[in-house]
Amino acid sequence: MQQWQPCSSLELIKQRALLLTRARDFFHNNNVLEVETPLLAAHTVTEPNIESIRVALPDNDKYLQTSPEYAMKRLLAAGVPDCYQICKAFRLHENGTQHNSEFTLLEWYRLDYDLQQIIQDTLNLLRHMSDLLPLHTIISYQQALHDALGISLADLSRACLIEHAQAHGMVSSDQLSDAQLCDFVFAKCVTAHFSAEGLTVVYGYPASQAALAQLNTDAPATADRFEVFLQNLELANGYVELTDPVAQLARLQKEQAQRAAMGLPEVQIDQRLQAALAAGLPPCAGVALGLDRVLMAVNENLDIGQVVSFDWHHA
Amino acid sequence: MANYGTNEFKSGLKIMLDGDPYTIVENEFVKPGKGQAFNRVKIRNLKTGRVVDRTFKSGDSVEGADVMEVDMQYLYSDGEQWHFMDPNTFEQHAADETALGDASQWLKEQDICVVTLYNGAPLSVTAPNFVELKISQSDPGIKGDTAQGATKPATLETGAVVKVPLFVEEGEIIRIDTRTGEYASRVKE
Repeated sequence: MQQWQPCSSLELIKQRALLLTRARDFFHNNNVLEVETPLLAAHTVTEPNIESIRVALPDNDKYLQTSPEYAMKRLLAAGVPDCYQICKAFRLHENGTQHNSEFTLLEWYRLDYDLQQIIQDTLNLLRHMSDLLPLHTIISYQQALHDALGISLADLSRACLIEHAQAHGMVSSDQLSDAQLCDFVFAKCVTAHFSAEGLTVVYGYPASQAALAQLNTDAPATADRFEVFLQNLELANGYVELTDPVAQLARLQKEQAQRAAMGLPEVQIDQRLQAALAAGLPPCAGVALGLDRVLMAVNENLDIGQVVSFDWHHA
Repeated sequence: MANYGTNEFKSGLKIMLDGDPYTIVENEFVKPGKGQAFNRVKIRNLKTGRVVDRTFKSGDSVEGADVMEVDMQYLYSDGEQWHFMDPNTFEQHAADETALGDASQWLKEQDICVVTLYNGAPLSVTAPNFVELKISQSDPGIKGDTAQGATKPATLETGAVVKVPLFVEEGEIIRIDTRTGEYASRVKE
């Protein structure tokens, strides 16, 4: 007999509806416009650690979007004001207790916000969505690393990374790049020890993990990027957006080179996004919030498979 | 042996690591949003029984271990080796004391148990969860001692000593949970 019933309880289905209502309510009160952009598009992200789902079509293949970031930046460049979107996003091979290949993202952009403002905006939204997510601490990447391991960003040599990775059970240390080792050490030794009672906001990511965030003007070794965690559960990721088309092209090309070095499928750079930046993306900050994760966080860390109506294996 | 990619990891899969065979107890997919994906596993060393945490980069592959779990009948012991037979192929295997471990004190000739073969040779033997054995020696319970849960030692036909309730007598057959080594019930003949 096939399991046809939903993976989540009626109670959680109702809670999801309430979260969606409250999120829309928050943005409506703050004069942020709801928008929609295509889920299937000709281009996708070049990021080496995100694999898109390619959909075979009779004329040209398209990609299920891994986030609405590119399309929303094209809207902003065209003069659309503060805006948000609640949509599905898709990432190949990402399935586990915290991951479902199809998931719900809430992504929004605020014009002229700096890092502090966008962090505060995110906390305001979360407080509006649930009173179960109080702020525990706001901490720099550097400080979090120091608190957990007693080392600073400058100490993170390859030898040091390998030593910590191996001490924590990493089998494939030798084949990992510095950035990959750093991901492991940060996930295993740092975020794993964050508070389970309240939110931890980490800001000032190393420039190597800037993605599409601008570099900090005072400390260019760090990026104006932040993440919100409940213990090791990542809820949101936000940037003060990079608006310089030349700098962005260089980053995307670097990602393409990384993909090639890792033997991953080639991904073309989205020239429409580049053209939008060339026309002028206004100064803005943007955040992607995992709605399924919020639902997990307010329900004592349920698995993602318990908070979506039908998970990847029952869809 | 075949290689297994991390996307094939699941509990029960047998893999080789640092020259030893392991079984995967737990497998978890871990990934920072913008970062490298990993598979964090709890694995049990099939030689030592020790469980350790290890992390693989997702996409890596690892050599499978030539490990099979086969139901076999225990035939006899010659003092140094315990002899087993696969009832399907009639193939016989001899296991030493290390492979037997705890199982040696529960096995009676003709019992069916699980023999784990590594590269074709017995690596470990798991006794059935419950065995029925005769008490070869146990002093009578003292009359009047009615304390709840009072027990006395009993020596079984295999030589194992277990604690039994006072009312159980020498010559009786009892059922034992081999996972805990505890008395479960009396068996009526």
